[in-house]
Amino acid sequence: MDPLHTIRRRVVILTAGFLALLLVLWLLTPYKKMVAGAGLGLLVSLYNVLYMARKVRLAGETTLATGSTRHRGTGMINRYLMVALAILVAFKYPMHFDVRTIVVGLPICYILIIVLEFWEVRKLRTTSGKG
Amino acid sequence: MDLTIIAGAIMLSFAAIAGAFGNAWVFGRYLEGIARQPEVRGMLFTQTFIGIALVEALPIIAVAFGIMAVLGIIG
Repeated sequence: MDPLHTIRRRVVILTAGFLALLLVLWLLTPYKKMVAGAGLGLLVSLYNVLYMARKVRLAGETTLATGSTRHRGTGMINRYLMVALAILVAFKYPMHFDVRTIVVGLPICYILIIVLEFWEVRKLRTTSGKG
Repeated sequence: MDLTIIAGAIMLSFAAIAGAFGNAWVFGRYLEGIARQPEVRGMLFTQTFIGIALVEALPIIAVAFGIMAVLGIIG
């Protein structure tokens, strides 16, 4: 199976699980603003990871098709501006979101990618008898 | 001018510069690797993905804190 598809599917499934957990916390606990802020950060994180995956895939396909290693951008400004947008939304609506907890949700998908890939490598080494 | 705004601006700019250099380095090696050996692009893609995730996690947090400092939420 295509590694991009595998990684993307796992990250989306786990992030959906985290979002469901945050929804339960939002419903059951009195810390609604904080949980909503973390959820907003998590959504931005998911967008950033999916956008990054798309950019990496497109760059690879372009390089394979043309043979040229020159490529226009990795979409970094777009990702940073999404973070800025999330913080501005929380700043605009302080009755719904806590701005500081957005930072908690922002790196979660990046950490998920790293953990999932190390887990995959460990599994491969165990099955091949090297671990 | 409030010093917090300057601190936030410095934090934003340094995070963006560091993230840009890191991303460019990882991405450039990925494209070179694909151009040289197209058959290993799946493995290269995975490693590039992890590399960019490692590079970009901290600058994203720094950008968030920088914007908060500029807006006066922290500091």
